[in-house]
Amino acid sequence: MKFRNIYLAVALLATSVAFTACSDDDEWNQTGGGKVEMTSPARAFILNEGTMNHNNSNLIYFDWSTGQVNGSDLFRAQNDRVLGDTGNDILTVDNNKLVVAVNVSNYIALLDGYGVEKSRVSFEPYKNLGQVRSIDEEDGIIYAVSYGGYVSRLRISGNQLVYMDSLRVGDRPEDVVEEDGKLYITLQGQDYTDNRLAIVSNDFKTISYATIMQNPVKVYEEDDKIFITGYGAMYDNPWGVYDPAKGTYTELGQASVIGVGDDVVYTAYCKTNYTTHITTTTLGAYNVKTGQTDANFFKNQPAELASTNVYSISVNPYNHKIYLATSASDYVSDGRVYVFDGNGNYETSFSSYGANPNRIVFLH
Amino acid sequence: MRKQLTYTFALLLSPLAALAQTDSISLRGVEVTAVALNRNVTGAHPTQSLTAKQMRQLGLDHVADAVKHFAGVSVKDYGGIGGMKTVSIHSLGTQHTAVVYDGVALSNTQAGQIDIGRYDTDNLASISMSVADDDQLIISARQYVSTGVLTLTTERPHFADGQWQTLRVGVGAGSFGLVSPSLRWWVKPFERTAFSLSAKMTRADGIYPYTLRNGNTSSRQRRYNTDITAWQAEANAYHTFADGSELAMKAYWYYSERGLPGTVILYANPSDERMWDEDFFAQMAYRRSLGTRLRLQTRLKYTHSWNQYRDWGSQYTDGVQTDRDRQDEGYASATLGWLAAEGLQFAVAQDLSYNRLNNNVYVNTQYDVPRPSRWTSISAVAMKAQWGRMKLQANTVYTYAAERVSEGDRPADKRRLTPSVALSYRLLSSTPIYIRALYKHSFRVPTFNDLYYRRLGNIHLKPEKARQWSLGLTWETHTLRLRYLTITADGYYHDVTDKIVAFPSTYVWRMVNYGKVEILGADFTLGAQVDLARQWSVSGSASATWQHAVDKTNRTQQTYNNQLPYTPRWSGSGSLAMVTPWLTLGYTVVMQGSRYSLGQNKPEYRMPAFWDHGISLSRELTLGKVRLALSGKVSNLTNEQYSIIQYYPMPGRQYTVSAMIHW
Repeated sequence: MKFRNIYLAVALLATSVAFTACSDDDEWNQTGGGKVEMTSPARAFILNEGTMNHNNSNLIYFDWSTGQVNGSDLFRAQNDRVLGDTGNDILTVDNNKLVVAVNVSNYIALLDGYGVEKSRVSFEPYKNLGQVRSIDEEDGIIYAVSYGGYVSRLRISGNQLVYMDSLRVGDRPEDVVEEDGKLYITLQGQDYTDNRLAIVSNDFKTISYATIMQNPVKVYEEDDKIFITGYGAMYDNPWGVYDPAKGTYTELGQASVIGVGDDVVYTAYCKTNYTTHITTTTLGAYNVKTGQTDANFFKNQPAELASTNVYSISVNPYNHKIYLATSASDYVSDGRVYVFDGNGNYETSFSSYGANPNRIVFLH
Repeated sequence: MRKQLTYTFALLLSPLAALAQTDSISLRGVEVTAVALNRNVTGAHPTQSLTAKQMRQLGLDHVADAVKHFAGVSVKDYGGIGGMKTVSIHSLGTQHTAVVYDGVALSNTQAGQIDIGRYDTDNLASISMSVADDDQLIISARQYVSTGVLTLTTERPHFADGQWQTLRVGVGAGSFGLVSPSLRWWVKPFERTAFSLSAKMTRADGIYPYTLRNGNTSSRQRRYNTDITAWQAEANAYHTFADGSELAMKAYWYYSERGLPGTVILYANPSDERMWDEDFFAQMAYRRSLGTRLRLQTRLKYTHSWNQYRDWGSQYTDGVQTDRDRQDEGYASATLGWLAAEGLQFAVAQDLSYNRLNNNVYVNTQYDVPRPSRWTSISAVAMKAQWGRMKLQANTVYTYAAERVSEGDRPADKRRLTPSVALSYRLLSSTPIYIRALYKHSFRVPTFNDLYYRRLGNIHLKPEKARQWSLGLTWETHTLRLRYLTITADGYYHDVTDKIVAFPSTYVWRMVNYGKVEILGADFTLGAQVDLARQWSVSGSASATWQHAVDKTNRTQQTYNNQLPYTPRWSGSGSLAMVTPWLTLGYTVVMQGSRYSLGQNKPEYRMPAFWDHGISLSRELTLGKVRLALSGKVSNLTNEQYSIIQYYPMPGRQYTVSAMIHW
């Protein structure tokens, strides 16, 4: 009982601090709100991809300080319509905005910190760009890669998202990350045979290429280094690091999914045996500073996690918790999110209330 | 009609005639005055059927529309004039359903499903659907393998006295730019020889409005890239030899080009896809009696099908992707029937087929194209017996399939023995009330797509197995004015194991034998006709299906014990035809209760129930030697906005008119 009182007091204190902070913030957090009451500043958003061609991508909100989850689609509640088909990437801007890329519905939307849509740019009028896939942001510029082979720039201008220009980088770019003014883009190529990382210079004109694994997928930045996952030529899920300073790529092991934060790359390697239909998941943590991998970093996790496909790993920069979001084994039913503290101790799990949780982002 | 009753009655009462089945020549002249009992009442297997006359009266122009009126049958309809339509019996899957056209099963070894959307009812004498097996005995071995058989039977040429040829010219037109001229010529150059030639062209822009629901909002949209131009031609030759044996030959050709509108994607219109299809087959069936107790049927068929799929987009290197598939099949079949004793018949059937697929779809990043070919041998032994009020029908089928590939590994040979037994018992001698039961074990060999499709295929797949148990009660009665009243009720339990499904891993999917499904269901049918007065009659039918069809694959999955996607608990249909001296008025309704679009039965995946009503008016005029048939139809009368497959909206209200002149 005492503990509960203490938590209550802390929560109240946190709320009052947050309100104070809000009042000093720009107009974004004040004009947000929409129809869903979201009093906590500790807001987290799960982007569930859904099932392709079912228009069932959704945005699920939870309070990362209390763990309280709202199981209905926040985007629909706030905007009366749904996200559409295959939300494939989400990020936060200035701790008060969300930007979502919806792959098959082919648009990028700017939302406030409460999930209310403010503006969107559809790629449909720009047919040569193809379907938008992934995004990154730096200094109010959104970089978006699309299947037509392009990286595009969009500018956040007040409440508006404005298309700027595009640059062709190669076939089937899958993911993009910005680091020190340069863009690092994974290229899958036609028929998934490409094995290059496209590097776009600050001038947004010059492109160089680095050789990495075949059929690369995701790309992340941590401590000025570029971490990449891929299928590999044999579909054995290699992952590795590209060092921009040295221009070298080093393979680090096998991981189907990684997530970065706090100088650590968290890894999950999920391998499915098609005869027994059993998936084996191996978790790990790679320390970027020391170059050491800790295979026992994640502790006390539920037994089912060892045979569940991890779909994404997200790190909360504010409380350092790690969120392993898993897919249902059929990739159609709702996924599940497993929460670990910064030291890798398992805390809890909850439904993602949507299929294929792509990424979780956090506001404070 | 009288001829038909005569024929049906003879089939039911005479074992030899039943063995002969379609031997109309030998039955000519037989006069029967008793009322024939409906095949669905007396048969050991539930068999529902629609005659050409019934379909005309109800305005059912397409096979897919007609089949929707059968209890226990679901038609996956992707909407629109060119949208694919496949049929599944008791939710066992479309690959388990055989579609038989004039005695020979249509085949698609690549995808395993037949698009019945390309078949019209114009030239059909009847459509029937049997659960498990057909009640006939002298059929091809392939027909014994599946969990159900949809049979399309072409109308054979028939002539009025002194007539040796007839010509029918027709044109249909309707909503969404539909125009379909057609031609049919029947000719009898010799007493024992008849030919029929028919051709039809269908074109439509297919663009139709629909209501798109998006969260709490809805808007009116139009369905684009839905155009179709299709050409269809068919030639039949029938000859009866002096010894009474019969030869029937058929050549069929179909060509179409269509847009594929694809799934409705919110906020985007990604579909530029187009499809070209060409099908050709030539088949021959020969049947003759060997003495008084043996009867032989042989069949030969060659099928060629080709399709080309094209998608445009900046994601492709050359801005376009083109997939081409070519399938060929050679097929031979023979069945020997033996009337061992009165009420006891046996048949042995042997089928041999060769299928091959040639396409440009490579299976891996080394660009290997396997070009598979398959030899399939199906052997069947069947029997049918009748002791007093009991009828027994049983068969055992042995299937052997072996494959070769030009590149890569080939799958192991498939061998399987599958039995089937069905029983019918007339409970009372005074009243035609029957109890029937059946058990069948069947399976399907993995399709070429299952085995070899790009990155997804798995050559280690085993056959998918299905078991059917069914128990039913049927009854028929009639009075002077009540021409017939039939009621049937069948309850069933089926399971499917080693179900072939796409099994996911992170980003990489593969076909595996993983799924398990259990289906508990009940089908109810009712049919009646009342003769009101001379040239006045009313006939009606109703069917209802209840199904608890659930996933039983894995207890830990959220889909466990959930209803299968697109499987309503309740579905049904009804029809009413009123014949008057001036007009024939038809009314149809098809309904499905609420169902789910995905395996996890969440409220947001629930699709609402729908009722699709249609009315038709038709009239025939005789002007000298010319007969003119006029008809008009309104489909989806209430403009119900619904989908059978989620995000493939069905068209709203549609109008169709047609005129046919018979010389």
